[in-house]
Amino acid sequence: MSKLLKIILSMIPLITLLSCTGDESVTVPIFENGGLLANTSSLSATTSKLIEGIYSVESGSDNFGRNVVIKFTGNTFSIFTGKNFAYFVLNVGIKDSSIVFEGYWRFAQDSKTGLAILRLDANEGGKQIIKNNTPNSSFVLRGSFGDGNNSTQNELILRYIRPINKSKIDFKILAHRGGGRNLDQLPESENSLGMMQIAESFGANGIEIDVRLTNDNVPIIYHDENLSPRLVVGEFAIGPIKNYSYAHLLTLCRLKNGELIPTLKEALETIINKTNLSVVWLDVKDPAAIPQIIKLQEEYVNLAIAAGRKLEILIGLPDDTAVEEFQKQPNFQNAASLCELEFDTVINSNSLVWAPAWTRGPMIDEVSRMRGLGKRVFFWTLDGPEFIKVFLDEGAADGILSNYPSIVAYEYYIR
Amino acid sequence: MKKLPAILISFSIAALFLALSFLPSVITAQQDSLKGFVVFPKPINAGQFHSSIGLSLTVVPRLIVEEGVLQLPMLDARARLGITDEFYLSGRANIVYVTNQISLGFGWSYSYKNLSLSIADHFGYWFGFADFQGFDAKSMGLANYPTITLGLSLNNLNVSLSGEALITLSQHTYFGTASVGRFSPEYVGYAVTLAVEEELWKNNYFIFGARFQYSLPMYQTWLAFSTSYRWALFPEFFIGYEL
Repeated sequence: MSKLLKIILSMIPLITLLSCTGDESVTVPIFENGGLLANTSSLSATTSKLIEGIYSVESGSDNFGRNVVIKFTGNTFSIFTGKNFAYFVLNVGIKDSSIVFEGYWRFAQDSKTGLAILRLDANEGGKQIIKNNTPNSSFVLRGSFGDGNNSTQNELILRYIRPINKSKIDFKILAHRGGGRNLDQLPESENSLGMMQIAESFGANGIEIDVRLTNDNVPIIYHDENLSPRLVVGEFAIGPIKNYSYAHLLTLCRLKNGELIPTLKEALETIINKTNLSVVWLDVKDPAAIPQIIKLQEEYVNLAIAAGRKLEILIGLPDDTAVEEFQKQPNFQNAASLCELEFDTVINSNSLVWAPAWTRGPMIDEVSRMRGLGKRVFFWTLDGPEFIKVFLDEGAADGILSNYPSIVAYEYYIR
Repeated sequence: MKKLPAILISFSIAALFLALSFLPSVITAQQDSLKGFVVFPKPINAGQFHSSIGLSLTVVPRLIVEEGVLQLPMLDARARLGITDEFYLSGRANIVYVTNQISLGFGWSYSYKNLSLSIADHFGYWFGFADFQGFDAKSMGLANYPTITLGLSLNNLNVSLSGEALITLSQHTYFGTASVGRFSPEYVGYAVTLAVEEELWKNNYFIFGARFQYSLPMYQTWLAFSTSYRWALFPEFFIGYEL
């Protein structure tokens, strides 16, 4: 027996050692001194849209597959690939009638990343694009990509094939937690203002963010019920987030990458003023926040209209408690909402969107019924490429919420 | 599959495995009362049978489940049957309804003084059901586990150290009326297991151990539908009573 105890005790340090999985972060590689873009002029949004399309990969297909999608996302260009589900985030500029793209690539489900550079030479489409001519198969982007801060290891050549899919429906690619989760080691923390500003680069045209309430009734954007090292850094903040005032939270902790925990007001201001996102899904984590959410929804919908922004703010109702609180509010039927529950609840809440979990299947009959009543259907939270394809094939969704909007974007636009 | 048949299937398999575990013990009881060789890689005689029943607890990494359930307790049954003096059949069943695995395989073992060695290969069939709120899903798959085990016998204490390669072969998942499947053999990680078998009181043998799986997500976490391509550590602790 004593031997057994010794063995068990000797295993404890081993277990402790092996249990330390680390919490490494991925640094986004950047070009030194601004790279080639430092001496370029800007490209207009109208011209940038012309570059969008499906391109064949003439060199680099071992890493990125045979075809890729290039999409202008408002501030940057993104490339979405089918192999390895990589995405590129590229800034653009004009130099000597050529168009230069510089930025980084990243595998969505892996931490591999590196610099990338592409050039649409003046004689291979650059001049024509600048004159706002429609691209054709003579348009060739040439460049290279590498691991980490090396941009020249591997050749990358992309040739224009055709425009991207223009669907009849206004399909929504919704990014989870403002753009992505901490565990995917993104450059910004989940549910941070920074994350909301880069969500479009990942392929999203809408985001889902989580709303909680502090003990002094400030609606904030935070996912978990508790403060924990999963989401925040700060040695003195633990336990339920609703036990803290907003001032305490600002003093005691930061999000994983050092950002402040944003308020709902700050989030909506950022979305309106610093993004082109068209939908924001406010996932109600604390039903007590609903009265304030409704007020802010009304205020910021009006601000968006005044700013000329097309933005839909949906109050997400995930459970019976949230629905009950929502339906207690005067004029709740006029507040745009999204309901994750069953048919009758969606109707009774006058929700504009039904949002079932994808794990229930495509539910074609139920979806048709909802659409027949003028409702849209968003499925959550779909991450697996093979599952995403099924939902797109079935045509069941008006939108998909994903931790990997770049995968949804590829699978949707490549069609 | 409806809930009741799914439960029945899981528990029928567990019951069958238990029954099979007891039966040869009764048959061979008069031949050999030695225990302590369910995991320990010492050669056993043809027809000799060793089995155990117990519990295991797998700690699921946050990388897979974030703030969700982090511990996965399972019924854990093991058995080993001698075919010849060197070759044996062995199996293990882990049952918890939402995810279950039965692995069966054969091995060769060799002993020199108090040291033993075995080389084995197991095929695992895993399956799971999720038919509670928000889910209408089930999944199943095949995996392969080539294993090498070293054993050191210290009086009545048998210590085993195993290394396994983890290879997934196929997976088929149903969600609602849709399904996806793939057959793509892939090396997804490895596992190291340290186990001790000891007689704690008269002829009552127990197995204590820890298995450290370092891999991509496998059957234990199919319900998380993780798409992570990052390897993670899945520590598993188990205790068993040898029948």
